[in-house]
Amino acid sequence: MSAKIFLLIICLFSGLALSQTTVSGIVTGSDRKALAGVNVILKDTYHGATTDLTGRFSFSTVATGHQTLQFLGEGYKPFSEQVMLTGQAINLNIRLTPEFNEIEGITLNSESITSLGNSTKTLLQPLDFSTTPGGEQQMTKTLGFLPGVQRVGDKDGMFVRGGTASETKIFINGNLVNNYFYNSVAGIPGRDRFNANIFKRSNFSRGAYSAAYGQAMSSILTLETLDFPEKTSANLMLLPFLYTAGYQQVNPKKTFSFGGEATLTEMNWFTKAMNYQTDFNTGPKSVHSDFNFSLKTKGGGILKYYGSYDQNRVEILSPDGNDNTLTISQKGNNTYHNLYYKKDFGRTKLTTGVALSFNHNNVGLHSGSDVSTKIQNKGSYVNFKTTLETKLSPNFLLNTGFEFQNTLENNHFSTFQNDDITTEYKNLLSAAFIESTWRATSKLFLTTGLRFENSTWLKKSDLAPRITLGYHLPDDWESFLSYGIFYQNPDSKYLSRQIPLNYQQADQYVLQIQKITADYNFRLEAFYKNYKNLLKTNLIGTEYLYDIQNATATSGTGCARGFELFWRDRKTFKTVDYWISYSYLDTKRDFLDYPALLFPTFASKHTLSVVAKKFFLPLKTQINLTYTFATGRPYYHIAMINGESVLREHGFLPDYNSLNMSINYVPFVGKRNPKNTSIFFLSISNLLGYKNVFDYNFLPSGQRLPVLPVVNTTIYVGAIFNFGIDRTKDILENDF
Amino acid sequence: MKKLLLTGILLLLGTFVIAQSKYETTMQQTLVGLKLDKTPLEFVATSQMFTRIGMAEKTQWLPFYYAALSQIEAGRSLMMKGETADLDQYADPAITSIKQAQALNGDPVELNLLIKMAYQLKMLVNPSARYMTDGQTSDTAFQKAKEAAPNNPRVVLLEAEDLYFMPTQFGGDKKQAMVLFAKAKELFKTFKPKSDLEPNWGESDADYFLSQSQK
Repeated sequence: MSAKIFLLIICLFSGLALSQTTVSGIVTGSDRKALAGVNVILKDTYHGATTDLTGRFSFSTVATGHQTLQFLGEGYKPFSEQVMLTGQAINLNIRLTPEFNEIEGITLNSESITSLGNSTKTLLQPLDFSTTPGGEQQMTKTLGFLPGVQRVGDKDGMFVRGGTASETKIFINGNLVNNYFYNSVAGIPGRDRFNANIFKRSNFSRGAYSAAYGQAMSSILTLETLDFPEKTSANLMLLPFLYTAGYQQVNPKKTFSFGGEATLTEMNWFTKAMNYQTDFNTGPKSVHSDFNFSLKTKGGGILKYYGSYDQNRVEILSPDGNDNTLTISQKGNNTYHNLYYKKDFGRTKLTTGVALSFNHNNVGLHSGSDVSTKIQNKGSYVNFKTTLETKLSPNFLLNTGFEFQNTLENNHFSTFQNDDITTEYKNLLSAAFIESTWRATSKLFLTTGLRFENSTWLKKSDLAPRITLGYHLPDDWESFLSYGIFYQNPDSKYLSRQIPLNYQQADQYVLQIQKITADYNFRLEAFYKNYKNLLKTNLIGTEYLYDIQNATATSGTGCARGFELFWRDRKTFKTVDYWISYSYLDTKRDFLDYPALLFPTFASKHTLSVVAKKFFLPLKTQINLTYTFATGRPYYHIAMINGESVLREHGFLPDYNSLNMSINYVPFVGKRNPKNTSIFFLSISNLLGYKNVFDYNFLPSGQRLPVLPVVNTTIYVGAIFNFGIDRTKDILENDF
Repeated sequence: MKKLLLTGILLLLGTFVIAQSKYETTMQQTLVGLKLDKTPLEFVATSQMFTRIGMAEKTQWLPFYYAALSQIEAGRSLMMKGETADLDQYADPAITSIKQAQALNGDPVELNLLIKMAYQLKMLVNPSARYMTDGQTSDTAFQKAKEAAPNNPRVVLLEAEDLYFMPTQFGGDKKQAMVLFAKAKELFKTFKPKSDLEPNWGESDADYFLSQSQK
């Protein structure tokens, strides 16, 4: 009997041994591309295989019955297939779909991202903003090496795709920054007020941007401040004319941080030493201080504050055409505060913030000892914005919000003839928006938005549609088609009295094709902007480079069209990172005091920029070169004759050329846990000494004076020191 | 009847015993396979075998440890040949496996050494852009391991390797490296892993470098 049982048991085992099932197949990804290195797993067993270079796999298993086969491929969504194992060979054809980080993937649309982060989509690193030659340690100037931005050296702001500087608005933590640039005098652009190192992310959308923003007919730059610094540190930046000292402290758990920075600018001796073309009586001087704190609340939200105060002044001398010297003196101060709160509830994200700004600028122009003209601007601005973003489903994102922008400006204008004009401008802009992003298929997504605005000054409302269609082409190419209407209030500086006006309007159509990988970045953008209801003005008078204009109607029109190419390569040449940016712009507009449709003074037909960086590892040195070429912008001499705007003189400025170089020495590279990370740099602007002209100043005497760059060629050395206070012992485990 | 019962119990025990060492046997077999792997795809296949073991066992950290180590070995084989462009492809799955091992309370010292190696591979893809981020992560992990276990032979081995390969401007020192390789060799002789499966690799690497000094 025991023998029978033994036989039975053997039969049972051999029976089991006989029912081995061979599982084979092929795994492909998008476009039937064979996927190698995919882990094929028979769930809860050790059995499985790795796909070979042809995507094929094969393995045998003694398991039987209903089983689950899992397919794990790097960069692809996990896939499960139910199988029935009976001993009969199974052959499978498996198609994996790419992993698509939903929120990031969806919102990575037509906004061109220049992010201070480590993602492959990053265009510029924080250090790029301090070390790119020709960028003058300013964010906006450094962004000028990207396509779409026009070279306008004598006015502050960013001129994008044929739009004026006021058509590009800048936002910090969602709220508008009314005075992003320092107060200055006409002809000398004010510097960026904000240092790139306080921001963790910057998005520069050069056209057809989201419904979450408005009041900018051309483009927007959105900046987000750091949540918490990496470590406690003290920093020092020294240039011959600028000194900055700062301190930032963060607790080990990164739940509370605070810090501040003070900057002193004193350029007088430097302007004399470098033979500045502008004659400074008192070189630009400024004092700037800022303070910030961040707090992680018990509920997991983050509260951030940033505030600054600065004062600046300058006095320049200019010939007035009658053998006299005109003295232009400027004095200004500004305080800015931004308080922001954000909380992530998982599916929903809430953000809310308020920004306050108080700005004062006084400019006086006089010949001799009498003050002949005084221009005083006072502005107080309060902005509030709140947004709620919800992921309603893995493929559907909804973003809504509302905001208020309250402006109160007082302008005082007096001339030697004792004209004394005081104007007041008050406007409360209320806006609400709703935007949905729907991922229709793994390749196609659609973003539609609607933005509503109401302006108390215009006593009108507007409703603007925004739409973007995104399609992922094979081989990592992406394409976007966008359309939107962008409304903007006329600039307050022309509105001395209440007259019936309309919102200015730009209808934009943008096509974008791009491929972004860690090593290469190619982008082609084509755009068409149709302008309506642009502000028309009467030219009242001209003082130095100040045109005093009064609004008459919003009846101007214009159009801008063109295309841009961008190519960045980090791989072909070892240790060399370079990019080439080309912009073609064809634009005409009839606005302000233009007597007809003219090619505007702030646009160039062709702009080419080349930026190249090479890092010499053994020398710990990086050499950067930037070159910009732009075809000459037009200049116009417009005068009012018998109440009519007349073009007296016009022409083209010489082509703009500038080759800039900087050398950075980075001694801490390769050091283990460096205590201090210092960078020493030498910067040369306009190395070849091109004589660039930015505009012409037409004097009453009939003479015309060129408006030259403040300095033609400049060279300076600088150092940035950063002392980290070592708290590695306080860092918790697994914090990478 | 008694015989039947006995046979039955023995069979039952037998299957139980077989199941117990199935994990150990498979791990041993796969570890042997790891030593023989040469091409990146072979290392990846070994890594994925370890992953399958880890996913089936659910409570063991060692399979995920070796899954990460296999990917890192794939990366290192390319790195030795100077092919640094695609190292993310091996470093990233290694990091995922390390995290899985950490979640199962794996040995922090050995895992920190893997973190050091994985992030070092990532940094090598683009040193000038990544030394501040991946380079720092790699260094911090190594410092933690060194502080916790300065006499772990792999700690000494990896420090020696860094000194050996780094250019002198960055603190490289071939002489000191050789001293440390010798020290590592000594430590390997006396190191006792907690079990047959616990990390014990590296002695052959130390031998290799020590043989180089004879040249």
